[in-house]
Amino acid sequence: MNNDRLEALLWARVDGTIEAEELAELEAHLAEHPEPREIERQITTIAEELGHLDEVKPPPRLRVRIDGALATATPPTAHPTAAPRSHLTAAWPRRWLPLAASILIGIAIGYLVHPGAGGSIGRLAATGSMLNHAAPDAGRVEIQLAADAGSVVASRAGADVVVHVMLSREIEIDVTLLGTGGEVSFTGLESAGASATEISTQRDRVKVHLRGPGAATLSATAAELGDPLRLVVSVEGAPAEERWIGPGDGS
Amino acid sequence: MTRDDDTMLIEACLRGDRHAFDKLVDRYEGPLFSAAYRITGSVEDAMDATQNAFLNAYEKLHTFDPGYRFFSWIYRIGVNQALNLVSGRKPETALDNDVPAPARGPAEIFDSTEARAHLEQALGELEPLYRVAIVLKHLEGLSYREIGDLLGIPEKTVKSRLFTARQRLRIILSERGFAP
Repeated sequence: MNNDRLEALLWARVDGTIEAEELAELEAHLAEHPEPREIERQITTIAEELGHLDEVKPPPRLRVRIDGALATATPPTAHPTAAPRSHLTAAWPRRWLPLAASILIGIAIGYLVHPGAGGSIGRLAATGSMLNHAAPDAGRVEIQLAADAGSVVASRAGADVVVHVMLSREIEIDVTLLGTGGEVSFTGLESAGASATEISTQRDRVKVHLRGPGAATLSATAAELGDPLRLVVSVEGAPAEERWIGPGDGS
Repeated sequence: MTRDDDTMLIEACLRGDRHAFDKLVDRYEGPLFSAAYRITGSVEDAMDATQNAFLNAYEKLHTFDPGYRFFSWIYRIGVNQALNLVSGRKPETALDNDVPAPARGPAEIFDSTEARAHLEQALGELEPLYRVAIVLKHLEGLSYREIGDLLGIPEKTVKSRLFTARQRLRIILSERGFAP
């Protein structure tokens, strides 16, 4: 038994997740090899001491700060455009399901055409439009909509992503943020003129449907700091552009 | 406190009762700050993370899905806030020392002071990625699955990170001559 295996089994025993066969293997090994007893003792003590690290009480001034921040915050009821977190099928009217399906199929075909395409996504099969081939660590990406209809600019710093959408005329677009390995959480949508008619979230994506003219800002958080995200924009129901958004400067 | 209690407070808050949210702050300020402090190693950063978590949760309360536990939701926000704060920073050499003492008996504190000091220091030297795994598993008592859900990573990755974190912690302590 190598040291990694030994250590894994010792921790599994501490956690109470060790299987009976593994326990027998561990005990037999320890009986034959007394040297690892020191590692065993260290692990047992570390686990015990970790369990004794108590909750750290916050300084009283924290509550003052929180109360002050809440006093000037925008009340949650002042956001009529957002919907509760829900699954795509529940949040979207039936008329949008074929569109959602076509987008997903398009993305899947894109992957099949360019399997493991590194920093680029390849081509959206549904439209054939060329996609951004920027490195996946680009923390800021910009999409200019055709016919001067507006722009979508996404900025990322660490896990936080902010997508600014500006629509210069009456137009409907879908903006989707997809996690490639981890979860993406919706944290907010502020609109200035543009109306958000649908917001849907799933474990690995956040999607908003916006109607112009006007502006809106979508905020989201990636659970995995190093996880590149994909920004997918569809205009009037047709897939338009995709971009990678890297972790940015991580600040 | 129960999920139902939280749900009632959230509903009251969404109906315009701002002070209902104060009770949620009462309940979760401590656990959030404690976790943020363990992750960031800094009182000021932990305060920032906790304040931002409550502020974000309040302003986005209408997006909260009552099918989930409120604590899990705001805890996730707080952990991510804390991770964001440390993501671009060099690892701390030690956790801040100006933290109020935990609520334990003097004799017990005396007996374990040295051990805890070494452990706190070693924890502060782990990369945030690994430190958070230790915090969520050992200090918050979450299961692999719960940690995976919270961080948005597979359970297998949680186990792998936790293994590395624990191994590094043990090695750091051994190298310091503190072999517990």
